[in-house]
Amino acid sequence: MALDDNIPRLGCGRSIDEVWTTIDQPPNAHEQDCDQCRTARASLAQLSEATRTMRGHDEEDPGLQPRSAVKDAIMSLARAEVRRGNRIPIHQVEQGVIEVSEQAISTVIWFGADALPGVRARRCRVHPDYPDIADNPGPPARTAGLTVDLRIAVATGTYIPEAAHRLRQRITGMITAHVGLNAGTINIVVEDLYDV
Amino acid sequence: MSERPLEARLINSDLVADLAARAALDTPGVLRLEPTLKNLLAHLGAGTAHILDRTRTDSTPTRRDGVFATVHDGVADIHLDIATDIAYTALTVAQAVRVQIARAVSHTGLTPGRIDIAILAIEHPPAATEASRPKPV
Repeated sequence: MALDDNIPRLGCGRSIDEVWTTIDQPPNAHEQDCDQCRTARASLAQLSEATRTMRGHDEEDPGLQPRSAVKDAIMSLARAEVRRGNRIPIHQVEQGVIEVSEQAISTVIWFGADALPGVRARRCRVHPDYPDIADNPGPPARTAGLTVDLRIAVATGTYIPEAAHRLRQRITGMITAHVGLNAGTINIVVEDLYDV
Repeated sequence: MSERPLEARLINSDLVADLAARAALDTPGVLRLEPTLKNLLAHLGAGTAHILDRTRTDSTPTRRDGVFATVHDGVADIHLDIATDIAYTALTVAQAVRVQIARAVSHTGLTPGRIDIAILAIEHPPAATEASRPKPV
């Protein structure tokens, strides 16, 4: 067996790392019989205990706890990032990529959909037509189109085919005007009716 | 004329980040720069590194709220997270921001590298009233 000269070893040939790895377990047969391993285990056990104690103090030391303002800021941003959803690459040139968050596009769609009488927008998912746009720039520039999956509720008595047609037109116009993209497929699911 | 020598001034990532932020905020249609979790954690990490007195190099990225800037071999790479006004076309705004930042960086003598822009929110400006909001298309 080739031994690495850089690793400190006990007289019995075992490395100190091997002993440390099993310090939380009972000694094996070799370690019970080997004086050097027993001595090393005794020293490392003290080190392990000291480490455990210091770790415990760190967890309880008020001086090492983040201030509540910092925790609040982290949690607030974490929640915002979850709400924003995926970042969709929409435009790629040699100088860089432009992305837009799924939530930003959904906001535009909800704004347009809710302006239609008898329609209430619900869950909205947005997908780029070219998901690999960020990896394959292609000359001279590439701009993605979008596929929209929108769930809605409509007022009772609404003629659904007509409402869906107007909604598609509205979403297409909103995405073009406010995002700057072409809406390709717009899938609409009417999942509920509500009383006016 | 004073014989006092002029102080040398280094164009580093801090200055590039400031320029990028200013150029973005001056572009019509940009509401604000958006801080992200990565931004905040990087900021806290930088603070910790500062406390530990770690060496800062020229290529160490600089983070402002919503801005990451790196200067390496005379090239400035920038990442920006922004919110845009719904009255404007977001993609057009982002493209204009990129042009403005590239121009501002060029004026420093550095070469603009990658300028990546993420539009994290498209919304009405805070002061917008119902009357001033754009009509839905």
